[in-house]
Amino acid sequence: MKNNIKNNIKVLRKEHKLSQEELAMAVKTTRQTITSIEVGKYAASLPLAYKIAKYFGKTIEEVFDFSEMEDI
Amino acid sequence: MEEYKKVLKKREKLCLIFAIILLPVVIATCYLFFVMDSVLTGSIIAGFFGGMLNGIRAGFGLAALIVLSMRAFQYHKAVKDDNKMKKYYIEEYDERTIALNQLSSKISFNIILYTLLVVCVITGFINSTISLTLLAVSAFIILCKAIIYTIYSKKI
Repeated sequence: MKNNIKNNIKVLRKEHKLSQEELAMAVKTTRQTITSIEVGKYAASLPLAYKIAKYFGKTIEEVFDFSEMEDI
Repeated sequence: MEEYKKVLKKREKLCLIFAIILLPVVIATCYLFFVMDSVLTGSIIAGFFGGMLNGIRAGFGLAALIVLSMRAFQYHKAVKDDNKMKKYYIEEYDERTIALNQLSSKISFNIILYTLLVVCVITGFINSTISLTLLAVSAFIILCKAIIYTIYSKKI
């Protein structure tokens, strides 16, 4: 069940030398959720997307790429 | 986190209350299973089914008692340890877990409902009582869904 929202969480995580577990704890979610978001199996909710973006000091658009999202 | 601490304390109390209520029931069923079983039985078949039923009751009761006690112990430990409590909080309120639960519930609901309706039609040719019972159960499930949907459509 892939979604069309790409993201660069993995890249940002590597830049900040963070493990999935550490990022998960920082944004109060589980490692499994971070893994699913990274590989595109799960689309993060707006609050979680905001938390992740805020943690890296970026905007949601800088972390998540909505350009390939299908128009209704 | 303070709110969650209160919730865990409440859960711990509830688990203990249920465990205390369940304890005499489990003792009684175990007594029936181990002591009374031979007295109550008249024939081999009746004895077998009677014993099996008592065994199921005793087993489920004992399992429920163990689970409740373990849960109470877990909550008690979590309340005292902030890291553990944070871990429980994250696991419980993780949005992916919630989404998975909602999705699995939705799919299970549809499978149960459609199976009931299909079996209801099939049993209609064999036994009308069973068919009508299944129809009533299906109607009740649909009614419940409609009521809950209406309530939540006003809330959200």
